[in-house]
Amino acid sequence: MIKMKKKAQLQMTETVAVLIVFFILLMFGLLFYTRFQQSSLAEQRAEFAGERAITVSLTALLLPELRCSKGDNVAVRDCVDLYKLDIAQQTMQAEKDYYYDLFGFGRIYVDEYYPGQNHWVLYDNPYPEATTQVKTPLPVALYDPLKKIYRFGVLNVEVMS
Amino acid sequence: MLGQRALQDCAGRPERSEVEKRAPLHHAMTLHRKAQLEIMGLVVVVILVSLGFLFALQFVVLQAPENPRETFVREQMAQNTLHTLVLTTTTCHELSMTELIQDCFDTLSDLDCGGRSSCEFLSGVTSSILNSTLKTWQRNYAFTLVRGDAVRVQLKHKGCPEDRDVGRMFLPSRDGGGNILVRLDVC
Repeated sequence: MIKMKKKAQLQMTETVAVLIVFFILLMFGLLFYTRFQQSSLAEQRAEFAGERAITVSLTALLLPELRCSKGDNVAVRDCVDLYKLDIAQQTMQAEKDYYYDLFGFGRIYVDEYYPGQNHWVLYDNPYPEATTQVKTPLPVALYDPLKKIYRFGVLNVEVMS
Repeated sequence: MLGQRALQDCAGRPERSEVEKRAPLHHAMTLHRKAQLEIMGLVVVVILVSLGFLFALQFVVLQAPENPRETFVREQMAQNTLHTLVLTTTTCHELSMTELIQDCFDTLSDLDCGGRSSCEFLSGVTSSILNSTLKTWQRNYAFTLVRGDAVRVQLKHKGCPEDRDVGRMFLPSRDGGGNILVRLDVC
């Protein structure tokens, strides 16, 4: 009788041990899944920031305030008018509220690489607590409409979120 | 005699004790319990294998889609850089890069760019621009000027052995010798 009771207790202990191991494994699985979900959220945030960077880059590249034109207002691809650039630099800094709707938090600036080494800041509205900063460089021709020459430049678009 | 008969059953076999009478029942219960534990063990194994398979499917088989911004930047980089490069006006008699490239392939060329030929000059300018931009942005590249079998300028920063974005442009030759291919591979 005592022997049977001991056997029964042993069997119950065995069952409980199996259940404990099962629930521990289940807990590890849930923990791993939660971690995976968190990293997935971070990836989604980065992807959204990347898509926003594309939108802002294209908007900046196609701004009528900067685009070159020839003849009857025919736009030239990937080109920034140097004289428009000088004026836009002042205007866009003065009308930051208007351009905030287009660009949000970030910076837009143009660097000349050849033949000179000039720098124009068009939009500067940083977000101090930004966790993500995406920079997109776009090579553009800087056109001098009076001398009719082109310089090699890069339009840099930084988006912060 | 009576005592001996009392310890035997009808078939003449020795009479069993209470414990011995309960033994088959206990044996059956033990077998049932063992079977239950075996089944539970199997269930745990199946669940673990299923979870492992699901995670493997998630990470190994399903490839993450390419970042759209990366795709956009890569595609823009090669074509935009090339387009801007050929438009650029150089300090060699204020000729554009397009004109220098055409002069480079011209068999009758005698252009002097500060003591250098047009091919040497445009090679220097291109190298300078691409190193300031693509190389600084940690992009490998390969730049080539070709007409037919003749390669006049070849510049590279580590080159592009496999995956690349190609910017291509065809320029007409001045001496009627076929089109000049200007190619920029960005990795």
